[in-house]
Amino acid sequence: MSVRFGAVSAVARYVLLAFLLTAPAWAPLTRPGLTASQAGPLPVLKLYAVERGEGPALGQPLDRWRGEGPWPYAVARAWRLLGVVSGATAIKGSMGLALAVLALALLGWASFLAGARAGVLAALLVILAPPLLGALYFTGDMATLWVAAALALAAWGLAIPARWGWLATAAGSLIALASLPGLGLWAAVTLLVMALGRRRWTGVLAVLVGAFLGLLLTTPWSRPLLPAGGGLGVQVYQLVEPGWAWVTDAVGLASTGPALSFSLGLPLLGLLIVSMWALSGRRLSSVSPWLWPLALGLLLLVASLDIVAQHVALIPATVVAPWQLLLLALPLLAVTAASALRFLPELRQAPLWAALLILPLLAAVPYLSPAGVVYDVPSTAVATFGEQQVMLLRLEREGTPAPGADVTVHVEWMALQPLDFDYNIFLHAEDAASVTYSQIDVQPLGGERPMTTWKPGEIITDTYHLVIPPDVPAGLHLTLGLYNWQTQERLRTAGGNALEVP
Amino acid sequence: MKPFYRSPSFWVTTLLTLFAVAPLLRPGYFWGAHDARHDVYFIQQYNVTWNEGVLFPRWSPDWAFGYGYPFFNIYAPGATFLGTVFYRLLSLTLEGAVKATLIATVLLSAWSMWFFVRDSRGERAALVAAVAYVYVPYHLLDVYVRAAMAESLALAVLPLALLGVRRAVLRPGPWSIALAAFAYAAVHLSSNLVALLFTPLLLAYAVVLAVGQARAQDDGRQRLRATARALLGPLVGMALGLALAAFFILPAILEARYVNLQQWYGGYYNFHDHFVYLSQLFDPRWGFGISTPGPDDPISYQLGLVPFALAALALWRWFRPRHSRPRIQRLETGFWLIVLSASVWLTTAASALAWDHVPLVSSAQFPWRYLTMAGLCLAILAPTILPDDAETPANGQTWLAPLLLAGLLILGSSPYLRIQVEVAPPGGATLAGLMEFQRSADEMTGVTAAATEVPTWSPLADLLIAGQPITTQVNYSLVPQNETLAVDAREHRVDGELLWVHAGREGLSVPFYRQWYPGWTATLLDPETGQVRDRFALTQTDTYPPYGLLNVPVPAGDSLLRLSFEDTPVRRAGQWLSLAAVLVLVFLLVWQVYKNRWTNTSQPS
Repeated sequence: MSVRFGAVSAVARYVLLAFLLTAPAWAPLTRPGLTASQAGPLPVLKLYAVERGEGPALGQPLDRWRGEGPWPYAVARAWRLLGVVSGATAIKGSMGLALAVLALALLGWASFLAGARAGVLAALLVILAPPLLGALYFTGDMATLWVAAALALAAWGLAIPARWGWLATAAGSLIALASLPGLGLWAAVTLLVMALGRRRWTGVLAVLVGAFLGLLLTTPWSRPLLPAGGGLGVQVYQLVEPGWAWVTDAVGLASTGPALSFSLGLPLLGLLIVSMWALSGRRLSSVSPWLWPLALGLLLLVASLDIVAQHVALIPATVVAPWQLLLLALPLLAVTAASALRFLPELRQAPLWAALLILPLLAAVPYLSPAGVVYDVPSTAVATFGEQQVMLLRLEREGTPAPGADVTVHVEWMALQPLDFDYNIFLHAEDAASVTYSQIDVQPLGGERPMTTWKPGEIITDTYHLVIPPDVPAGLHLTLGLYNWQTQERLRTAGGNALEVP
Repeated sequence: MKPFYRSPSFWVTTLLTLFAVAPLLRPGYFWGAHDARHDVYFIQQYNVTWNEGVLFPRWSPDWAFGYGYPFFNIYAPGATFLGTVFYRLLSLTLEGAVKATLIATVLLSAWSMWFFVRDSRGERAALVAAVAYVYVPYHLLDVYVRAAMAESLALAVLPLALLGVRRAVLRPGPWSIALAAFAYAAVHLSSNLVALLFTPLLLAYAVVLAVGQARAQDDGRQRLRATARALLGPLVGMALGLALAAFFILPAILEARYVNLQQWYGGYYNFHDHFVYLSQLFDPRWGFGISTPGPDDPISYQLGLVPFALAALALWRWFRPRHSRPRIQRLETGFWLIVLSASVWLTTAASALAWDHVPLVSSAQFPWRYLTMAGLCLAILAPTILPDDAETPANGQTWLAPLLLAGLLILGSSPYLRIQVEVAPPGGATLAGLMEFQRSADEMTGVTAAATEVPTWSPLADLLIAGQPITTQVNYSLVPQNETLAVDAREHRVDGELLWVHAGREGLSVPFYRQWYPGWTATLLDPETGQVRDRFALTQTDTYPPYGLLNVPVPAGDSLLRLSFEDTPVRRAGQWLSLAAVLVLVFLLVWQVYKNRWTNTSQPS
């Protein structure tokens, strides 16, 4: 009994240490409101849509392989059922849980392979890696985080000999597919190869069962669209370039630099090199537990490169952006990197180990100051224009469109995807026969923020004033909409090509 | 234990501290730092009075647009005293004196932490703790963003007080009691607020050490007795420390009610708007702004990633079931971990209930002030991950780990080693500058309890702005200068003046441009012989509205009126108490020296 208690307390010590050392990464989730990510309030709107039984397809122009699955929102919904009032907090709760699963799974997996000290190090190397912090705070990519966490959970299950290992593997596969089917498929294939390579037949079965159940949940039964226009792949130099960073002086500003950082983090890369050096020259059979994650991690990393993504159509067909594959590579490479502690015992000595734990923290400094936004997300949008292109979140009218009156309309727009055209906004005063008596046609914010500059998730607040001439008939109504000023073609919304202003 | 000057660890610590003070060596002055202007004028005011022979000036003559204010009667004078000494001895500018004081406090911090941790953990740990203490972000914030001279000096002496108490418990004797007394007195003379926050911690530390000492006893009653015995030394030390600083503490407590404290509470000072958010504790951003409501303060309240990581590792190590360390050391680590948790908790809104209902908690004024205690704990815990000196072989290799940790601590804080040098504001470090500062910032405009309004300008300020000396502070606009009432100023000092007065009848008063406060005394002299006719302390009724300025009653006829700021019975009692404490300590130390000599000479050779 005492032995068991000792083992439990030892595990608790390392779990507590990992929890504390990753605090700089998860603490920003405790800020009030939303994180100022590219996703903006969209996840919250999706959560509300899920709660109404509409599913998380809101704002997803892509096919269901690359669109989000229900899992991240199911977790957020669970938080709501547990009493979390705000949708934003529930979304952050889902992200936080994904981080916790990822950290714990890595701690368990690397601990099994190279000891508990390596476990804590592996968890830190991943949680503080720039791409992961980027997914968390820059893009707000909740589903990708869940896939990475699920992969780590399943891989841990594959590694351990315990009877419940297959359960973790099956759960991981299920969550991966139910979070983001396309990326989840990559995770499932990775796990399958790892299980086959290590001849874990129960593991193979668990991966297949989990993946099948995940696909059942997401039902992306259509064939992936080929070819598909995916996002950018990673350039080789970007794997080490710092990229995006938060300003460290002024507070309240968002990120600097245009691009998400794809750097794996110098501590991870450095330790990976040390591990590879330590592994070299050993018998293959004795290092296979580390070789498989290393090989598969490197393969995923290569698949995320732009040069590969351009030539392998399957990649843009299954993932929104090839860099998402980097997040799957991270846990695999981190476990190998942390294994340096097994092969170089001096690194396990407390002071040196402490220094190794501190390095990822210091390397992550530019990414640990995400901005926040306090925004009261409406439970439902007023309207969506185009093919899930622009959402009208709020609409308020002052004055009535009577002859000789002034009408003011306040709006909040949000782009659901990057827009490739600077659409005009129109506000018309029309009669029942759609004859226009007064109108304004403007670019957003008086031309200051054309729509091609809108970032998905960013909220654009605008106001329009319309003067109704005195010599017009009574009984006019207002319509609002967007149109292509070159072709005069309007973006459609529910019920027509303009929204009737209530 | 070898002398500190023979320890490479001490000198390496000193050298590593130089990076932390280097920005202060940059030419120019950080006028925009929160208290940077205050610091300059504090030293200026201290020096003005020192010039007239008063070594501890309770009265600052040019506060409140020249009406004066008993600033150093209620505000710990240590740092300003040190700054004035530098100003006078080193012929520095006022700005240079502030920078020299801050440099001294940083160096003192490193040394005092080094001595404290060496006592319990050896020289390797001392190096790491001292570097951590200097580079913990809140300490750098105190120096470079807040320019908080008083708090920086307090930070420098806290470890010495801990060392004194530790020694008084574990190795009781006159020297350890004296160390505890002097260091604890120094805390009180450095910063009122820090002394308030630190005293419960110091007492708790003494109790924990005493309990740890007594744990060897089997019987419960014996254990209790042993605990009480072990507590005797530190308690005597702390009591003597209080007595040593009584010349300041007693008046500060008993005469604080005669100033308008409401001026400094409410509005911006509402602590509910200044709680630290959890994310801010880990946010590595830096800023030179001030505390604002919400999570986006343009100032950093971080714990520091590296010190925090080392504290987390200390917790991990503390939980280790098998450990070779002495029980007292484990107890101490546990104590500092608890104090760290409590301090961090008190900075956050989770402790709002304590802030609302425990007066001692809210005495910190702003929740983030508890980062002072958090910083202390982080530094003490920083070397916990190191093996003890006794555990490591005595070769050069063992220095690698402490140097590595020290390097990481410095690297982690290196982005914050910055100073914002600015052009001097109008008037700069002159009395005219002080007047401009008071007018533009409504700072240093404190009033006493007799005032019903806070002044916004004064005729004296006009003189100072014009660069003219103040030769009298009689309000001549209210003196008719005829047979009813006439005044002729004969001498003027910053803390008093001598006038010839003619009053045509009884019941007349001479109005001054000086704020009333206990201590102002009127002495009436015979103009011919100089003999004292009457002498009386001025009370709150001897004032005129709205600023509570002195209005001294004079008898009919001619007389000389000497107005002077003197000691009250409370101040005299404090001074006697301090003197008595000095005598007791000197006696104890002399007795110990003689005892040691006698013991040495009586031993057979």
